Amino acid sequence: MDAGRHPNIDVLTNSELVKLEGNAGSFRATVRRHPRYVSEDLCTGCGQCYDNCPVIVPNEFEVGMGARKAIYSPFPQAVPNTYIIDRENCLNDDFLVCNNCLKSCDRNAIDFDDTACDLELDIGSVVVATGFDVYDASHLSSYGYRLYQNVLSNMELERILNATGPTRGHIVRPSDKKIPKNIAFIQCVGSRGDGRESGCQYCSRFCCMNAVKDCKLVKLHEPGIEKIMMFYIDLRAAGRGFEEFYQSSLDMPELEMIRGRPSKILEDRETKDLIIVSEDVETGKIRKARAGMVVLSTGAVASESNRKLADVLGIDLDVNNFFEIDTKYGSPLHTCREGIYVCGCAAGVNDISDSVAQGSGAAAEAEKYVAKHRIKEEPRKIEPLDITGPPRVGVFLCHCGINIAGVLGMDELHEYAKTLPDVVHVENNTFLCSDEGQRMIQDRIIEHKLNRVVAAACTPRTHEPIFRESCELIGLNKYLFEMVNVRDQCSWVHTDFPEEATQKAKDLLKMGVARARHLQPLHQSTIPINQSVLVIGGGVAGMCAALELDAQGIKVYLLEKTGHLGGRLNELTKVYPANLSAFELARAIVEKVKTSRIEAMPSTEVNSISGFVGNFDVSTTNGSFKVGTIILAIGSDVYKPNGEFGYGKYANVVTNQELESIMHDSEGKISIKGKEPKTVVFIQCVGSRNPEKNPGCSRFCCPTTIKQAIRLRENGINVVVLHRDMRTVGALAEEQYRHARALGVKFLRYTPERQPKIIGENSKAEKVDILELALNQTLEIDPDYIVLAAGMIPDEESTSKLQNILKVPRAADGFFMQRHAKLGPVETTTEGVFVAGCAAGPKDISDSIAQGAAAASRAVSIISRDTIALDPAVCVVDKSLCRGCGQCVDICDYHAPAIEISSSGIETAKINPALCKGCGTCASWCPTGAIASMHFTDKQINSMMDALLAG
Amino acid sequence: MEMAVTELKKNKALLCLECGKCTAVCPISAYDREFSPRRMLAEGIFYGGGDLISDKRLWSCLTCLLCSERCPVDVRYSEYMKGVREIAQKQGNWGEPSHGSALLHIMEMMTAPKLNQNRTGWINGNIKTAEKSDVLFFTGCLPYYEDFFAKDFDFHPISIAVDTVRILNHLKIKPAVLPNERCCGHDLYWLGKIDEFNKLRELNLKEFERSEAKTIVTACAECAYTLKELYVKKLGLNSIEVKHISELVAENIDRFKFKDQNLKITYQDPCRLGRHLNIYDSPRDAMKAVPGMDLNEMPHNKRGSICCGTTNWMNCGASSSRIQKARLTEAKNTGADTLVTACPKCQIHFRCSQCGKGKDKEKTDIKLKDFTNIIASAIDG
Amino acid sequence: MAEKSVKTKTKKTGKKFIPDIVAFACNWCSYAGADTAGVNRMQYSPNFRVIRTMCSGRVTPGFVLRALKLGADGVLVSGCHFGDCHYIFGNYKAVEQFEKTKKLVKTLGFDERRIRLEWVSAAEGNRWAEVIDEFVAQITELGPSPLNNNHKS
Repeated sequence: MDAGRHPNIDVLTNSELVKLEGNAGSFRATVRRHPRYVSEDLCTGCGQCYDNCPVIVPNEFEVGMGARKAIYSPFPQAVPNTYIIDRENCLNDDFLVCNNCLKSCDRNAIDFDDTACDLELDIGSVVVATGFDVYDASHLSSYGYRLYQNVLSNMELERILNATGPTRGHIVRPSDKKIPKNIAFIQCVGSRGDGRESGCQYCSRFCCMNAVKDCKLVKLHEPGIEKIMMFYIDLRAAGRGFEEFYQSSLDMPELEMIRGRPSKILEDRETKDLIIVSEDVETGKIRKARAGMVVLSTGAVASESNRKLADVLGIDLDVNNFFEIDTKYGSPLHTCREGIYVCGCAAGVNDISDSVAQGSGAAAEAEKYVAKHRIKEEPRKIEPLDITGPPRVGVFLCHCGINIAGVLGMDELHEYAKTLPDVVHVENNTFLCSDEGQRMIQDRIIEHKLNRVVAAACTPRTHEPIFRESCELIGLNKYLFEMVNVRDQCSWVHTDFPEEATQKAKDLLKMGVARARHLQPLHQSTIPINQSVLVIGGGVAGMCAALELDAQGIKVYLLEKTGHLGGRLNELTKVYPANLSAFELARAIVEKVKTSRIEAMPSTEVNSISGFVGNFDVSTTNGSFKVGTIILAIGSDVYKPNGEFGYGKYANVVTNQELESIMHDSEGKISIKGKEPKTVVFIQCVGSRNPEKNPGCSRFCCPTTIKQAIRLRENGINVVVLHRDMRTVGALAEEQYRHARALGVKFLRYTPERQPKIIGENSKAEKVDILELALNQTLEIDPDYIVLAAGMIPDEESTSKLQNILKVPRAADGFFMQRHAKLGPVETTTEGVFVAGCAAGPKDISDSIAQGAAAASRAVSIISRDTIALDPAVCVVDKSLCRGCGQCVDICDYHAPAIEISSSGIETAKINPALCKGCGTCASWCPTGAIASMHFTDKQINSMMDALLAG
Repeated sequence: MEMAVTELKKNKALLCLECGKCTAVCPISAYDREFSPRRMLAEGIFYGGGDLISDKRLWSCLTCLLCSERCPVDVRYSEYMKGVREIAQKQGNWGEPSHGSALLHIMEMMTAPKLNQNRTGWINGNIKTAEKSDVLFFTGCLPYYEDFFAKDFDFHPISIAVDTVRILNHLKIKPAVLPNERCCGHDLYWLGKIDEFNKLRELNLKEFERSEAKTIVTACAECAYTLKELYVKKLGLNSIEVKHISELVAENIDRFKFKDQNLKITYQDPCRLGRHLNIYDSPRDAMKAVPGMDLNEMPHNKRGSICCGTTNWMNCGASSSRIQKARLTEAKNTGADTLVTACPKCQIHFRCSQCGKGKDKEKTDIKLKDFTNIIASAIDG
Repeated sequence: MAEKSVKTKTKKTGKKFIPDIVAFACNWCSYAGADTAGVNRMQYSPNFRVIRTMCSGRVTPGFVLRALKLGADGVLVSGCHFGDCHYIFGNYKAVEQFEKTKKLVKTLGFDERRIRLEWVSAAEGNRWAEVIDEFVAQITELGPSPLNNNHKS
C-alpha cells in the first residue's frame, strides 16, 4: 500500500525485465509490460466484471483450494487494485465471444486489444528481490502429497488459517470437511535433503518457526484439537525472540515434539486418517502415529525463472540456483556485477526480518548511483479560500457504478442529506473519484462557497488522499474534508438488506456531517533537517553503515569507544562461510573508512544527546556537533561462563572466542597454545537457551563451532560436538555442517536435564561423560580442550547508557527494542534513531553488514530532505488547562510531550510536533482535557455520537 | 437569551459597588489575570450576560463564596454564576470537563428513572446496615470515585463510606443504604443544568420517602450542602433532617471512646461545609476530642479558608493546580503531617495535585486523610 | 438487576428490537479490517455505526459513557492485536482505559456485556464480521439499554 502510493515509486506489475545494457549508474533497461486487458487508469476495482464473468477456475492464491473467475484481482489487498484477465481461461478466445465483463464495466476499462509493450528506462542500479518458490512435495512419493487428500503443505495450511481464506479460518480436512482431532507437522520436507529428489541440501530456515507458530494458531482457531505432533530433526528457533516463542509453545499440553523424520505416510482408506511411520530417535522405538491431517513443512527452492533473469542481468547463479553473492565484501547484498544488488530470498533463504533488513540494505547500495539525482519537491503556492463564517457543508454522494447505488437508496440519501444542519449543497455522481467527479467537487466548492466537504463513498484509507488533494488544489484546507464510508463498510457488506443498509448510510452521513461542522483547518509546518549522521560503534555494522552514507555524500561521524575500529572482527581469524581471513576483511573495511570522508572518532564516547529527529545536538568526549539521525551499532558482549563445565576452574576449558585467539596454523599444522591437541570437545548453548541466564538462542554459535571444528578436523584432530539442536541456519551453514560430518566430526546430543559431566583434576579437565541417547550408554571422552559455545549478551554498560540518553527502550532480552520485530528490524521507537548489528540481538557478520546498510538507507530516507513536513493532525496542549502533572510524558512511547518551566516557574507540558504521531492516547490520558488530538478532538468525536444518538 | 433583571435582583447583583474586593480575594484571579469576578458581574449588569455567556472562564469560578465573604453589599456571586451558566449551557456553551467528562456523564445517567445501579458492593460483613432504619446513610459518588480513582491514587475513596458506617455502628445505629441512590445533583446544579438537577432531586426524594428515614447522614460536604439547602430547606420539607457526619460525631462526642493517636494534623474547611453551611466547629471539636490529636490551623482557615482549587469536574487547569500547590504548602508549613478534609472531593483534588512529578513535590508532600478515616481509626473497640 | 425487568417488557410488546451500537475502530487495524470484510463482500449485521479513531488508546471512559448516556445499547472498542499496534503500545493503554470503564458501567447497573473490547487486524475481515455479528446478537438478546428511550421498534 505504502509503495503503491509513494510519489517516487512507479509500480510496474505484470512486467518483466528483458534487456539490461550499460554500466552501474547508467543502465538502460528494457521492461516488457504484458497485457492486462484492463486499464489501470480507469479500473476502480469495483468488481462488477468479476460478478458477471461466467468462468470459474481454481485460485492460485488459495493454493487451488478456492476459486476465482477469468477476470480477477489476484488477492484482497493487491496493489494496484486493478483487475486482470486470464486469457488462457477467458471465453473471448473461443468461437463464441462472451464479453460479459466488457458489458458490465461502467468505466469502459476493459480492452481486449491490449498488447504487450516495451518500456525503456534509464536507471542507475538494479535490486533483485524475486523471492523463492515452494518445494513441490509431490516429489517425495513416500509422504503421499497430492495422493492423500489430508496431506497438506504448510502454504496450504497458511491459507486455511487465514480468516479470509477458502475455509474462512476453519481448519477442516479436505476429505470430509471435518475438524481433525489431531494434526502432525513434518519438518524438513524438501530441505536438508540429498540435493536431488528429496530436496535441497540447505536448511530452509523459516519452516521450524512457521510450524511452531502454526501449532499455536491451530489451537487458537480450533480449541477442540486434541493433539499436535511435530516430527523434526533439529528445532531451529534461531532468531531474535524465536527460542522464547518456541519454549512458550512447549507449554501447550496438546503439543508433542517427536525427534525423527518419518520414513513414510500411509492412508487409512476408510477414515482417510494418516499413519505416520517414524523412529523416535530419542527412544529408538519405531512408532506409528495416527493423524487426521498432516502438514508438510515444505522448504524454499530457487525460483525457476532465476536462470532467465540471471542471463538478462549478466550475473551468476549458485549451485542451488539462487543468485550468487559476491562474498569478497562479506556482504550478502552484492552480486558479481557492479550496480546490481540482491536481497531477501532471491539469494538464499531468509526470514522476514532479515529480508526486510536486506531490502533496506540493498536500497542503500542502489542509492549510491542515484543519490545525485534526488528530486527536490517544489512547494505549491495556492491562495487559500475564505472559509470564515458558519459552516457551509457540501455533501457528495458517490454511486461507485452500481457498487453503492445498487444497494442503497441514493435518492432517499440525497433528500436526507439536504435536511442535515448546515448542508447547503448535495450532489450525486457515478464515480466521485474520477477526474470528472473531482472537478465537479472543486467547481461546487467555489460556486456554493463551501467551507466543509463531505463525500459519502468508499474508504478514507484508500481514497481520502485523492479528495484531500482536490480540495487543496483550489485552496480549501484539506482537513476540512470528511469521508463517509458507505461502500466497503456498508453497501458491500449489507447487500441483502438494502433498507437497513440505507438507514445505516443515513446515520453515517449524519455523523459525518456533524463531524465536518466541527472540523478545523490545520496547517502544515516544516522544520529544517541537519543532513549529517552519527554512527555509534566502529564495528562491522557501524563501519558499513558509515561507508554507505559516505558513498552518498553524507557527512558521517563514526564514534568508537576503543582506540581502534573493527570491533569483534579483530578478534576472529577466519570468517565463514567463504573462509575469508577476518583480519583481511577488517583491514579492508577499516582502510575504506580511513580513505573516505567519514569523521572517524576513536576513543570517543557520547556524553549527552538532546533534540529530536533532524535536529540532534550531540556532545561527546571529543567535541560537540549536530546531526539529523543516529545509528546505534554498539555491538554486544560475549557471555562469560560462570563456572559452567569447569570454566575458570580448568585451564583447558575455553570459549569459542578464546579458542579463536589461541589457535594458530603453522606449517600446515594446527596448534593450541603451541601444542598439537588430539581431541577437542565443543559444548553448545552455554548460557544460551537458558531461562535463568539468556533465554534466547544466539544463532551464530552453531556455525562458529562448525567452522572451528572443520579447521581442527582438517588437521586430523578428533572433534566431538555436544549440542541440543544444531542450528546451522544462514548462508551455506547447513552445507558446512554436512561437510563437518563428512570429515568425521562427531555430533552428540544432550538435553538440559542430562548435561555432559566434566571430570578433572589439578586445573585440567580430564574427561567428559555424556549419555549417548541412541544407544543409551554413557560415553567417555578424553579431551585436550573443551570449547564452550558462549552466546551473545547485550553490552550492558553501553546499552543502558544509551537507553537513558536517547530513551530507546530495550526488549526483555536486554537488546534494543526494534520498532517492529519483522517489519522494522533496524528502526527503534524513537524517530530518527536506528539500530544495526548485534545491538539489536545476536547476528553473524553477513547479517550485521546487511543491517548496517539497511540502517544507512533508513537514515537517508529522513536526511535526504532539507526539511521535515510536520503533520498538523497531532496533539497540542492548551497551557491554561495544563497542570504540568506529566502523565502525558509517562504515557507517550515517542517522548513527544515534555514538561517546560516558564520564566515565572510554572510547569506545563509541550508536545513536540516532530515526535508526535497523532495517536491521541495522551489526550485521552490527560485529566483536565488540556491536550487536544487535532482532527480527532473530543468535540469532533462527541458530535458524531450526539448526532447518531441524540439527533 | 439575556439575564432577566429579576435574576440579577435575586442575587443582589445590581447592588455591586465596583469596589473590586471580590477580584482581589478570588483564588482564581490570583493566578489567572484575565479572571475577574467584578468584570463578570459588570457583563451581566450592563450587557445582560454579554461575552461572558460564551467565555470559557465562566466555568472556572469555584463558587467558593470567598468573594461574598468580603463583599460589602452581600452580592450572592455564586448564585449569579449559576444563573449565567444556566443560560450559557442552554445555548450550547460548556467548559472543559476533566477526565473526559466521565464523571459528569455518570451524574447525568443517573437522571434516567430506569437505571438500576449496582452500587452497594462495598458493604462488607464488618459493618452493619439495615434494610430500613430511621437513619439513612447517603453514600454520594463514593462508589464511582472508587472505580475511577482507586487505581491512580494510593487511596480508596470507598473507605470513607465504610468508615462512616463504622462510626454510625459505634453509635449503635444501623443505617439504611439506598441501593439505587442517585447523585445529589450538586455539580449539575452549579453548572446550571437545573432540569437535570430537578430530575435527580425528584428521584432521590422518592427513595427517601420510601425508606421512611428521619435523618440523613452524609460524609460529603457537597451532599450535605445540597440535601440541606437545595432539598430540605428549598422545598420546606419538615420530615427529614440532614446531617454531615462531623455534626453527628460532635453532638454525640461523649458516647465515643478514643485511643491515643499522637497525630499532628491540620484541617481543610470544604467550601460547602464552611462558608456555604457555616459548619466550622463540629469537625474541629470532634477531632480535638481524640487524645493525642494536635490540630494546627493554617493561616487561611474557617471563613478565610482557601478552596481545594477545583469544583464540578470542570476547568481544572493551571490555576487550579497552583491553588492546590499553594494550599498544600500552607498545610505542610503548619508542621502537621496530615491534612484532614471533610469532603472526599477535596482529597481527590489534592491527591491529583500531588501525583505530578513537578519541582514542588517536596513542598506539597503531606499525608491526606478524610475526617471519617481519622475518627474511625481512633475509635477504641 | 434492572436490565431483566426491561427485557421482559420488550418481549411482551413483541416488536423487533434493533439495537443502537457504537463501534470505535482504530484506523490501522480494525477499521482496515472492516474494509477488508467489504473487499471480500462478507455479509454481516448492519446494526452498528463505526467511529474511526487513530488508535484504540484514544477511546476514553468518557466516550463510552457518553454513548451509553445517549442511549446506545452497546459499545464496541476495537484495536490492533498486541504487538501489532501502529503506535507500539496504544492498545495496552486501551485495555487500561477499558477496565476502568467496565468497573463504572457495572456500578451503574448495566450488564457489562454491553461494552466489549476486541482486537481485529487489517487482514481479519472475517473476524470483524464475526465480532460484529456476535456483538449485535448479544445486545439484541440483552434488549434495549435502560437509558434507550426511543429505541426503534
